[in-house]
Amino acid sequence: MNAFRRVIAAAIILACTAAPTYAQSSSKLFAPFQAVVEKANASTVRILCNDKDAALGAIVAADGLILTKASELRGAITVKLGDGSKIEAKIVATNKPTDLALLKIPARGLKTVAFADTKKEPIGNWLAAAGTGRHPIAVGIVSVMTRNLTGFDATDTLNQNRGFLGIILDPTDDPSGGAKIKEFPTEERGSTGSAAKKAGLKAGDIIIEVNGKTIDGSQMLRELLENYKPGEKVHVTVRRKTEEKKYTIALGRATPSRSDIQNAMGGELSGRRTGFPTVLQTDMILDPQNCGGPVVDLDGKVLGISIARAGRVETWILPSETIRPILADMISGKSAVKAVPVKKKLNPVAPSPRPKK
Amino acid sequence: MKLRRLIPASAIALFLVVPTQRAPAAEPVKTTVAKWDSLRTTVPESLQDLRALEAAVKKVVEKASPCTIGIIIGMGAGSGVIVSEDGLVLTAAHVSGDPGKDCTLILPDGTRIRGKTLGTNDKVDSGMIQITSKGPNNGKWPFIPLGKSGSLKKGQWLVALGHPGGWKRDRPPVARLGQVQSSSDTVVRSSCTLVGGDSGGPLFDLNGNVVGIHSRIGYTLASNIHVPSDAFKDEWERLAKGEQVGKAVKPNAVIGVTFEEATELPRVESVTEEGPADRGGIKAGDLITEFDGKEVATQDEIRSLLRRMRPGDEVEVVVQRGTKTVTKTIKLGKRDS
Repeated sequence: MNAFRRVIAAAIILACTAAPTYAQSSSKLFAPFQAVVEKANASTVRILCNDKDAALGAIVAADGLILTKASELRGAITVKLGDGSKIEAKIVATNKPTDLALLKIPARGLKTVAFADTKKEPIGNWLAAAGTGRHPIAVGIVSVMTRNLTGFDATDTLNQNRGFLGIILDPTDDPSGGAKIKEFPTEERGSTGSAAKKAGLKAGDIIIEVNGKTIDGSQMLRELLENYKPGEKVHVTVRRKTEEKKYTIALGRATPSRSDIQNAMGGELSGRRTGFPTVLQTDMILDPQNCGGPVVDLDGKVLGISIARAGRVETWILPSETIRPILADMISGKSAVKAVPVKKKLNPVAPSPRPKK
Repeated sequence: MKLRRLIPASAIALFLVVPTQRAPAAEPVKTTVAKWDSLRTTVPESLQDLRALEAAVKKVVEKASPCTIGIIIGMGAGSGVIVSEDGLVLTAAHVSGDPGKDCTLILPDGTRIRGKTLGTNDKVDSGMIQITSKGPNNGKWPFIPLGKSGSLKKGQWLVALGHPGGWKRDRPPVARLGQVQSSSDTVVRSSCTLVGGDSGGPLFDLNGNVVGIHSRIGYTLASNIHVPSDAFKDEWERLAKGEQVGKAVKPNAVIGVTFEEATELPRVESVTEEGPADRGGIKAGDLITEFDGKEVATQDEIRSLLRRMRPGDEVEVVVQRGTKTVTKTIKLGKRDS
């Protein structure tokens, strides 16, 4: 989101008692799309994490390779096939810029998707997100033709739904390690304030350990926090001058900007909803747990994978042209996930023993 | 789709089988697409319907996108639409704000042009801007005509364009499709999703006419509110003149008479020399019986009518002069501050 311009819109709160009647969610509208999505639906699976709906996925190999949205995966991953069977899955590879993950399940003879070019898909064309039944899971139109993103939209890979300490880190890391707190964000009216500040941390503190894990820099701290939700508690050790101090902090939410507040009006957004190189933008309304599956046009051609519910007016599709080379890399082993394939949740109560250094 | 050379032949276990593109099922290839009736209020029922609606939407976007602009005023960003070849722009009152201000307008190709804000109606949230830069086509601007928002029916399909999040480089006006939820004199409600930055942008019927201007949103995704195009039409001249219609104005219109004090009757005791009543031909002793076409019986009734008027308004006044009934026209004056 462009943070440089303060956007204007008087958001008047309307007491809306009627059931949502947006065209795009009408089951009557889905009926004529059945023939359109039939083929792609046969290649669409449900991804569950710890038995909860986490994403959809697209079958890309008959022997059980599935593409999905990486940042939604945690804990035990299972794939639910069209016949209802649930199979345990492993993460074979991930790609951070596109937020794609390649999963593997033991299978044979699965129907796969074929990715078609999107560059010429004009504004106004119908798009349908494939589902696991007979209908699409969402429909809408092309809002903006496939384009390269610029600025923060292209580089900010932050998961905005994760837990936050509420600190601004020093941009340069100290060579001796740790993540230094530069300052606390100015408190916006209506925000709950900084979780770290409330717990007693001070500007200048260097965070050196979180839940038993030694922090070697800001990047590592951010990656670690990706695993935690707002409200979860973490044990933090900081170095303040010559002393080491320990705190238990209940993580807060990201401080929303004014446009964030408006974008959240009406439905949940994906955690990782920025930082993509190229997107095809649609107005279809897709819940975050229904992202990750194939999206087709009226000819049934798979144009890409729905990669994020990015705002009130937009869902982003990662286009075929972007997927193909990444998928090839992931299959050939170039983006393999080393060591632990499944992202394990770190135990917040009993820290693991300090590693030898 | 061809297999990429990057995939090594040894990776048999993960061999990617990519089927060739199959032709779409069933539907024969049509060279002409059926037409979607712009007045239709139901959802598409067949693939043919879907294609017809799709074709209509694309036609609207093609026609309307070149006339849809981004607006930057001070620290704020919004949207607007060009509605005349002279470069008159419709937007939201909360985007254009006070009249007479300079603003930057951005065309879909990124070209920046200049404009000046005109009038607003804060009550409905309508605003106007005049482009001050010279038009590309012999001084003329591409524009979109207005449609009749009063004729909109629930279920009718609409296209919204605008710049959600503010104008962004390399991103043309963003299209959304929806249906009319409700339509009244002051509000059109649709399922075309809007967000900050869209304010002032255009809502089109499937004939490609402007039927609304985006104003505000509510908590649900179906709460998208637009200013009806008819509201602009009703106040066109006043907005174009830079008037702030609907803004609370301090009452300061005067007739220039003193009424007798003994009773509440609107009998003129004296007339201010060279004042509006004097110039209009009202004389001492006249009993005002009609003011601006309305029968009046008391002084207070006249004061009450005056409060809603402006200096310069021309008012017809009927008086009883002796046994005669006389009609005069007064041009209202301004109260001395």
